[in-house]
This record gives sequence, structure tokens and C-alpha cells, in this order.
Amino acid sequence: MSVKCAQLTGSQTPLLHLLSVATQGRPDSIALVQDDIRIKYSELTALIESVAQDLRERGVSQGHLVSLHFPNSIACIVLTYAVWRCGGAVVPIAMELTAMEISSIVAQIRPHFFISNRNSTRAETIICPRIKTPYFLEQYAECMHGLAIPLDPAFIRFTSGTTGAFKGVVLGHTTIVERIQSLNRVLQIGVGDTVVWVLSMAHHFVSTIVLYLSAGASIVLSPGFPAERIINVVEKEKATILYASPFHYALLAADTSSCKISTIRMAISSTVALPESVYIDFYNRFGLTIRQAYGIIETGLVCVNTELPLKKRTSVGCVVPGYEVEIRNIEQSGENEPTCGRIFVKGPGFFDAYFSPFRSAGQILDNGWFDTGDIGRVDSEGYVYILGRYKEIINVAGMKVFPQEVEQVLDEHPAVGESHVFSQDNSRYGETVVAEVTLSSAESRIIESELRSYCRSRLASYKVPEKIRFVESIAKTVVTSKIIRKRSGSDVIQGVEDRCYGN
Amino acid sequence: METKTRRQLIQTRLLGFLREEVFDAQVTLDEHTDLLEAGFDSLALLRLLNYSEQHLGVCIPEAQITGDRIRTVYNMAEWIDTLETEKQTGP
Repeated sequence: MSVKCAQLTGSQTPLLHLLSVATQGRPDSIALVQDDIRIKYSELTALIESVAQDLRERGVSQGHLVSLHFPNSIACIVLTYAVWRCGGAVVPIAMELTAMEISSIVAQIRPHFFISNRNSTRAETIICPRIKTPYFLEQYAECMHGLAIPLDPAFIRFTSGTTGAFKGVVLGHTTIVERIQSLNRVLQIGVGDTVVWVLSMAHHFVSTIVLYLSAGASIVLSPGFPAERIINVVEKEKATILYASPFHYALLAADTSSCKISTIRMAISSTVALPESVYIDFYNRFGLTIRQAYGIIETGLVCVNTELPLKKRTSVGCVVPGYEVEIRNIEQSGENEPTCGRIFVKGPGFFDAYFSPFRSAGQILDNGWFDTGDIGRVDSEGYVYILGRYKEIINVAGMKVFPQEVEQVLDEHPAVGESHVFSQDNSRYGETVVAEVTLSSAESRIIESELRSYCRSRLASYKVPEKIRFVESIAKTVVTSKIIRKRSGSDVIQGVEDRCYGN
Repeated sequence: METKTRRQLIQTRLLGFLREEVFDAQVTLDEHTDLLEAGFDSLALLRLLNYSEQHLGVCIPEAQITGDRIRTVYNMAEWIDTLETEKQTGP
């Protein structure tokens, strides 16, 4: 998989070119599988062209932002590539977001079009050929702005729908090509590989789906559970690559059948840290090592533990060639503890800009270095260990939650005076969201379940605090009156046990 | 508590949890709705495991999760009730 971007001319974007090269190499090989549907590479490119034509006829063109609100599916992949074929940029909208959150994102980014799997009164119904999947296209008449063309935007991912954390990571075509080419020099995924896919495409797409298709691999879309379904898919399709989260590996490790999934040559874990117990259980069950990978949307996957996954199983591996890692603000946590500090990374394929407020990567990066927000260390052999996070973002099963966003929702409730949202360690999720709130007045009356319900009507479920504790006051700094944010695990909230559904 | 009564309580609480925390309001749920068909995914499963442990007091072992056991609320309640019974009676 290689492309010299400078040589491309005309209407073929770099990512479409990579797919075209992959197709020329194996037109009759299977690209995508979902249930009983099998799409060859030649069919996939034809399908993309057909859908792109439908979109073009309805006005989708160069520089347009197209929100895509679609579940994991062949159609989702086809629609993404079709938007790129039209010269547009895709803005994925996760399926678990509430209507309020979606409206907020749409109001902020002001897309030109909105594609969804759900109909609306102003949407036009279009049927995706071959796979017969309907999708609903809505055009927004107002504000037809376009992004700066030199950015050649392909993808904009938003991690929050409210102020305080609303950024939108812009990834250009060239950026994505650099990112996946660098990564695949390590992963070596190619035409002989079949990948079993269980994660959400709204959260994972660039360094995964795009990489696999650009490399000519086959992708089999699988339900994420129960374990027997994943195993059945692996065995039926003779899959060679498994890319999943620690939770999926925990389910698989607990499987009691005799199946060995022996065709898997590489199992990659991402989204949150892999518990060592899961690694050991999975290894004992299948005789396979899990390779942890580390990265964020701004940088791509910068570390993958491909060389010593067993010996250094708690490490995310060495940095991918072409990248650099630096530990800054070194601290020593204990006499015999290794030094650790803030993780900075540098390398190809880093993001191009934040969308809103707009800031180019050059304005954010420090001489090319990006502050990951994580704390870690590097051993004498160059293996990176992620120890935690010093920034405020809460990582719930790989999905980012900005405390400020949840606090804003809580603070809007008339009974709430002030709120403080922070993380709490969770063996299954990695972290969960918890909150402390003060009442707005002595007369205010509300119970935890009501407040959680209120949050649920406004936030995606993973953002809703698992527990809410009522406190007299929120700790703040003396000088600036900023909330003193708690670290995960430092203060376990037991919560008020009044959450009784149906009573 | 009688098994049937406890099972019904678990069922009611599970329905409330799924309606409040997992599924959109537009999704109609009852105890026999096929949850996998309705969109119950791995994130929802994570939340269910957490809810069962935190609020029903029953730890669901990953090794015992099968499609049939979590296909409907009725099946879930039956299974969780069984786990609770096994915990109380012991070996």
C-alpha cells in the first residue's frame, strides 16, 4: 500500500486512489461481509460510484460537510467513501447520542447535508443499490460555508456536543494516508488478511477500516457479543485479525467451548487499557497473545506492542517507526518506582486542525509535539507504559466524556446549585462518570434517580453519571475558584441507593 | 421472597433500566422483545453487567453470557434470578 500524493490529479482523492489500487490487485476478492452479504472489491468501488452519483445529483460536492448518522454496516462504509468521492468531508454522528446532542453538534458545525438511517420529514429516502439499504438524506439550506481547501478534509470527529470541549478533529486525506501507511508498516495487514470487526465505526474508522480496505484485506462485520458469535464468525471466515476492546477479549477469554480460533495471527486491543488478568485468561484459553495499541484521534495509533506482547504485556509497545515519544515533567512516585511524566508524541499523519473554534495543528503542536494528556513511562528498551491521565477527559470504554459537558447539563437543572463531574475506575469500562452536586437552595428536593433520568434525556448513556452524591459544597481553589478535579479511583462514590426502577 | 415474585421484581427493574438507560424512547420494550434485534449492543451489555452488579447485587460471569440468556428481559430475569438462587444456596 503506497501512494505518492503529489502525482494524483483530477477528481480522485488519495483515499479513493488507495482503494482503487487495492481493487485493481484483487477485484474478485471479498472486501466486506455482513451477515449473508458479501461484497467484492470490484463491487465495492462500483457501489461507491453509484452512491456518489446519487449524492452528487442531490448537490453533495467539493468542500461540503456531510454528517453521517449510521450504524455499523456495509452501507456506512460505502456512504463514507461516496462522500469522499464527491469531495466532501464526513462528520460521524454516533448512534448513542441523544437528539439534543445531535442538534447541538449540527448547530455548531452547520453541515451541508445530514445522512441518517432514520427518516425525518425533510429527508429524501434513497436506496443503496446491491445491499438494498435505505438511507435518508437531508440538505440544510442555510450557511453553505466550506472548509479551507488546502486542508483537503476527509473526516471531522467531534467528541462533545456542548461548549467547553467542542473541538472537532479535522483529518485531511493526505494526513490519513500518512497515518495508515506508517501504521501498516508495523501491522503488515494485506491481501491475505480477514479482519473481524466488532467496534463502533463512529468511534473507530480511519486507522482501521480505511487501513484494511487500502491494504486489500477483507472486513467481516460481527456483533460484539456473545463470545460464541464472534468465535463462530472467526471460524467461518477463517479470520486472521481481531481488533477489539478489552471487554470483548474478556468475553472471549471466558468462553468455555473448545474452539481455538487458530487462524487468528494478530489480536489487537484498543480503546482502554487491557487488564493483565484478561490478557492472561485469553492467552490461557486460546494460546494467543493480545497486542495492546495506543493512540488518540489527533495522532492515530502511535504505539503497538507487536514484538513482545507476552513478556511486556502491560506495555502498549514501542513507538511506531517514524514517530517519537517523549516523557516530560518527570516525576518519581516512590523510591523504587520508575520515573514517569506526561506523554508527548510527534510524527506523521497528525491531525490538521480543530474545527471549532478553528485552530490549525501548527497553532496547537509544540514544534510538532502533541500533548496526549496521558501520564506514562518508557523503559530501557523503549517500551511505553500508560499509567493514567492528567487531563480531565474521562474514558468510558474508549469513548471520551468531557466533565464540563456533563456539569453543564447538571447545572441547568433547577434543583442543582453546582456540580463536579469526575471519573471513577471501573474494571469493565476502564472508567465511569460520577458526580457530586450541591442543591440550589435549602428547599430544593431531588433524588439521584430523578437527576440521572434528567441527564439521560440530554446525554448519551455513557456520559450519564453512574452515581451522583449530594454534597454541601464543591472543593475549589482559593485563588481562581476553579473546581479541584478529582482523579479517578481516588474517591469512590457509593451513591445514594434510591435508584429503584419500577417501584 | 418467593422465586416468582423476585423474578418479577428483577424483570420490572431490568425493563426500567433498559428503558431509562439503554434504549431510545421510541423503542417499544416489553419482557419478550428481542433485545438483540432492537439494537442491544456490547456497550449496552457492559451497562447491564454494571447495573446487575451495582443495583441487583448479582455479578454476571462473562463465561455464562449466551445470546439466549440476554435475548429478552424475560430470559435475563430468569437467569439473574437463578444466579441469585445459586449464590444463596451455595454448593
